[in-house]
Amino acid sequence: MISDTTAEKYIQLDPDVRLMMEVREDSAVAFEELVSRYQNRLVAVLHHLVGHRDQAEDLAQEVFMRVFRARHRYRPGSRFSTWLFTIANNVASNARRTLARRREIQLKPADSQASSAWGLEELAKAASGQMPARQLDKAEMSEIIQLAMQSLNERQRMAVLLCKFEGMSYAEIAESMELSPQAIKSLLSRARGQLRSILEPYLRDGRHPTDDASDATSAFQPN
Amino acid sequence: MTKPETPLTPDQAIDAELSAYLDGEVDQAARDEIEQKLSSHEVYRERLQVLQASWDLLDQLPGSDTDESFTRSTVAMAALHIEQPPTSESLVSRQLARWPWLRLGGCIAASFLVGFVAIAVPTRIAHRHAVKDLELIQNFEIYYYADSEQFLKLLDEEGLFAEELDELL
Repeated sequence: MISDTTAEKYIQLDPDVRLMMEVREDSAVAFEELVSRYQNRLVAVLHHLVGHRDQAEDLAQEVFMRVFRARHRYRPGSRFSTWLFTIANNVASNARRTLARRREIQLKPADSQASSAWGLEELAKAASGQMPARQLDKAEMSEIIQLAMQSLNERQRMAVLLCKFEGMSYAEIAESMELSPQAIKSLLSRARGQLRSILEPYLRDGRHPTDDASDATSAFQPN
Repeated sequence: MTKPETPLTPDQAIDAELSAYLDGEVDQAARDEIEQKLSSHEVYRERLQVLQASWDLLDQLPGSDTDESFTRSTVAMAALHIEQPPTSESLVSRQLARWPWLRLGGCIAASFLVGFVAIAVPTRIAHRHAVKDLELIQNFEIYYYADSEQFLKLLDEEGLFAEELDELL
């Protein structure tokens, strides 16, 4: 149960909470403003989670519709972005479960929590890994970074996106993902370690990380 | 039930410590200790630099450039939601979804009804046959000795063996 003091605190602190209070009173203008403020960030996060742009936009609209349907019951207990991304996390999780049930070809998970994390060998197959080490251009750098993100499991990816691009604290990410702050700390440290191991060859020598796929050791195994 | 996490290797423990430091999620005492290590251990410093650099590379991830059409379509969906409130049928189905005990009670009642029909109807049919044959059952001895209904009718018309028949009854 959210106390009046807590609600008042966030109303004072967060302009997006104030907008949502107007949406609660059926203000279409306020709702449009909230959508406009968050649509790019929300679609970007969902795109990195589900991998498909069109699906990310559909899911983002689903998130906004859930926000709208819940407007009369809204009571601020956190920043608006924390609540929004809690809904986004739930929508993305549901979408992944539905997609997993429909998949004909299953990716082989490294463990029960790494249901969509890719090992280095899979990355080599997915990328242009057969090419020799050479000067990498910006497009390939982007490709490498996306592959590095793909090497994370879904929870790690979500935690990284919320930390990096939404600037959320561990406590806020924990609230959005319905985990403990300690679990978030662990997720992020493992994610950073995984990103480091994948990207370090590029950072040091400008090499594509999959150039050494044949020599991949346990250091490159996903978490 | 979540699987317990595997213990951290020494490398992972360093990453955990430095990650929390980079995210500003350590208290003052821990921050002082980490900064002490950074100042005196080159390997520690290098590890921090690589962690930070790989984190910064994420800025190269493609962003999203949704335009006004996305905003308009989303707001239109919300407006449609207001104009078309849920139907009574969907209200009923939502009530059932909200109150699972209603569904359970309905299932139990339906089970009783089906069971009653499955047992009672054949029983009543069997009883009906029995009632229909009651006269035969009650006068079995007469029919047994007479061996023919037609013959009994003839005897009755002639008034023959009336006393013997009464004794049998």
